[in-house]
Amino acid sequence: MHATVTNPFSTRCTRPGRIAPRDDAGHLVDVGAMLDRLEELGGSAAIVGPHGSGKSTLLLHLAAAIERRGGRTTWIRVRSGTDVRPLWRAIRRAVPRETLCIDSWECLPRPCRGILRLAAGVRGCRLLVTAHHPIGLPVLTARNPSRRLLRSIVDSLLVPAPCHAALIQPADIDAAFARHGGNLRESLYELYDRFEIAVRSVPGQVGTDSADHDDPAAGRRTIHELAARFSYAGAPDRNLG
Amino acid sequence: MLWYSEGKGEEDLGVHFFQRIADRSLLPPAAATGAFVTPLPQSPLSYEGVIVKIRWCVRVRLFFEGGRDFVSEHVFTVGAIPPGRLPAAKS
Repeated sequence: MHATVTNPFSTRCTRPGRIAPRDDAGHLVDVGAMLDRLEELGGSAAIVGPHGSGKSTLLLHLAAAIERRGGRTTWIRVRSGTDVRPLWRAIRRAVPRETLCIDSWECLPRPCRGILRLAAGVRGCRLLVTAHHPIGLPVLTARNPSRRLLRSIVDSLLVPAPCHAALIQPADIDAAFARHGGNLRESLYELYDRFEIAVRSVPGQVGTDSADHDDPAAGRRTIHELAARFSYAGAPDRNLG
Repeated sequence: MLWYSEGKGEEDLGVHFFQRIADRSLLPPAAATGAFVTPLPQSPLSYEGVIVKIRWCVRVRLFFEGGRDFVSEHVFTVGAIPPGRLPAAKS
């Protein structure tokens, strides 16, 4: 028997939509206010920022907020420049005022984007997209991640299991941020590895000798201790347990 | 009852046993004690790796009349695969 510990930097905890959107300084984004601004811009806009800056996360939260306000959305992730068909299909099926939330819009060739924008306009639907650079649509927000933002994200990930905080030091967070040039996603991947190393170095934790098969009683004790201390960081939000 | 992968990359999961109970009278006799029985498959076995982990869990979702729902999840272990170890540091 051995303990199970959820790595707070695993995809389960960090995938787009799991982490609440924050501004560059690390403060929670007022999604409602951002939707109001989107309305002022006519309903179509772009979220602009470099790789791994939280654009998809923000887009997901905005899409959910639009739905909560009674709007209709369709989510499309563009994976390559030839990924036009799903977009075209979505525009054809869209109802007026529906918002097409398109991740990685800039992957499409410029002429293609122009035609799709035209078609969306004819259908009366809106485009809310992510892109690395301004691409002709009004800019809803431009992301520029900071160390403080990464620190606040890490803090939020460690909330379900405060005892994990000792395993990740602020210097680790800053070093990861610097090493990956502000790419939050890559920084979180590095912190995942750092956490795995740290958790295995703690006696009695997963992958360490005392938690392995030599002493089953010790293994059981560790599991119960961990269950009490850690809960499940990756478990669904509204966990009764 | 389901298994899921957890780690750095894409996630995967498989639902092994699913039951929706809409009528209290259909609850299994042991439900009051929180117990139920279902045969487990041969694989995948639980694994506590470095890059990827395989976890089994029982997930219960309660839907209330008002439209709210609550989820509770409890992890358990299938099999006895030793946890993965970090590669030895190069000297």
